[in-house]
Amino acid sequence: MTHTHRVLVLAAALLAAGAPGRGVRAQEKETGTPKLTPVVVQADYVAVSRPARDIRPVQVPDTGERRAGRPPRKIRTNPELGKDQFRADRFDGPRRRAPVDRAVAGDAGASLTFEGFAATDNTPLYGFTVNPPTPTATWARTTTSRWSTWCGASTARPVRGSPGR
Amino acid sequence: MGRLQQGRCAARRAAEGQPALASAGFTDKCATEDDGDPIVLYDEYADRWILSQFAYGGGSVPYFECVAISRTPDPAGQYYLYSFQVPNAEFPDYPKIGVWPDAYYMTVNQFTNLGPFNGTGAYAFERERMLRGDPAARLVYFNLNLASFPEAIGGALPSDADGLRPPPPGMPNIFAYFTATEFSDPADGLRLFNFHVDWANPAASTFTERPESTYAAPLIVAPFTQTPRRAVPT
Repeated sequence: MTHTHRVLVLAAALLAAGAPGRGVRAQEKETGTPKLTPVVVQADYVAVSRPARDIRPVQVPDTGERRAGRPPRKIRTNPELGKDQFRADRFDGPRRRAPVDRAVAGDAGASLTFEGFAATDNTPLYGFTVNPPTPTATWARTTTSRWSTWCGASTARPVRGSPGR
Repeated sequence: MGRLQQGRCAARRAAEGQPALASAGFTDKCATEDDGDPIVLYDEYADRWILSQFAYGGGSVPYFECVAISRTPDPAGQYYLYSFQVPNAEFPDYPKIGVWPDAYYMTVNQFTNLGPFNGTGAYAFERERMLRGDPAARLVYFNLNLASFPEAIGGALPSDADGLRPPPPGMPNIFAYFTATEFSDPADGLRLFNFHVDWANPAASTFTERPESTYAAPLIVAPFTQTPRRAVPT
């Protein structure tokens, strides 16, 4: 199978001509966001897998370890990082989340999750949910926040973006 | 019996160190590389499962985002396998995916040729076609690189809709990332964006900042940096 990679870079003029409603230019004028050109890419390859249950190692060796009934491993966190260090727990409480609620909850109606905001790459700092699903109650316009981990206690200035996997 | 034989083949390939997906027919990096940043997500509107990881094999372009969509609600069953080639030399690191009615939306931190950070990539995958296994499935991509956003948008997230109540028809997906004075940004806050994808006319797709925020004046939240608070009893 060859790489049938089809990239269609679309002219900016088409954007203005084809954009419905207010259009990009109007929004750009309102918000100052640079006008961006969408790029369309078709899937390079499509196939159907075998059943996932058939994709497995030859065997999983029995180490003799038994996990049933064991408490989960505890991860030590450090909630006190000092006044000059980065913290990101500021969505902790409905008053502090109120601006986010006002901004997006009414528009969405649905429950939206922003899970795993990161200061540096894959270190999740916090997440929050707007309109959390409440199957047994009404759809309250509230938010909840949930901690994942804390930013490390390093005194180094955080740098946005660094490669690594 | 057939399934059993397939299982034995997969087991042998796994034992020999050959990625299992190679047998599905892929010939690109999605078949030969298990490079990481895997995601498992449940699409509760369609009752399907989404798996993904990127593929960069060796570090040189092209880069791929490999996406698998379960054909049924059974996560242990068959999957539609898609490989999407990234349209430039921006390695799509740290992907994050959100379920939305009109697309699977994704953010990545971009690293040019696996080197320097170059902002965010915003993607929309054509959910409706992918759920059917349609080989014509597409993605729409916006490059939020440093040239367009010198302030360096990074760590952005698409919103992920949960629950039984979907967003209103036609509502764009809301993207967000936080600014912080620790990053030399003007203020602590959130920037919110709308990603509207138009599959009938992809050229009309838009990525725009919502009126609640700009870089200079983000949606203000409580400061990220505060004086120490009392220790929390453990």
